Amino acid sequence: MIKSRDDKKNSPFEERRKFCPFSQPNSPKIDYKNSKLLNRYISEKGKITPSRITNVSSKKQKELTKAIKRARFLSLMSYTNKIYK
Amino acid sequence: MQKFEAVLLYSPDLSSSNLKEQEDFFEGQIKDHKGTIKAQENWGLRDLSYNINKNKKAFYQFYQLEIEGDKIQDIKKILTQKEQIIRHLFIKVSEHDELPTYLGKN
Repeated sequence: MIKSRDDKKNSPFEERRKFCPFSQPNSPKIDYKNSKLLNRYISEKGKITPSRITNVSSKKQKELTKAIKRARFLSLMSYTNKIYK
Repeated sequence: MQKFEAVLLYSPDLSSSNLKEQEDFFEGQIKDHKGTIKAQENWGLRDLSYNINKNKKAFYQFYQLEIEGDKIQDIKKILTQKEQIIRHLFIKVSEHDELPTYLGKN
């Protein structure tokens, strides 16, 4: 069954519009020195999470990856988060 | 003249007087290459996320510089020959950030 647009609007599963966390006014500045902020955008194993999951715009994603790679080089973040047993 | 940021990692075995010597050495190098140091920040002894040359900790120093871009390569060459400096990073920026930085606050 095809739903009309009005049905979708009233449904509890209404899609909320997603936005880029770095493109808003007074959103934080991407900086390689702020490792606490960058830690939010890596996976458990230490990989960079893709922008389709975090909704970062492509322009800001480029800045973000650069910042993460700089932080890794300075050993502020690890390249891999190994789980030791 | 262009604006640069520099981060240097010193080996944790250095005593405080030795560390001061190394800082003076770096500042001297900048002056020799006709650059100026706008600001300096000490991040102190920090844990490394992974071992570098079997070191688990390092002294972090952060600088804001103004220097001719082609001089950076010469400075890098000199820094790599130093045993006390584990790692160094130079980054060109359009504008200097306001201090203190996130790591400098703690």
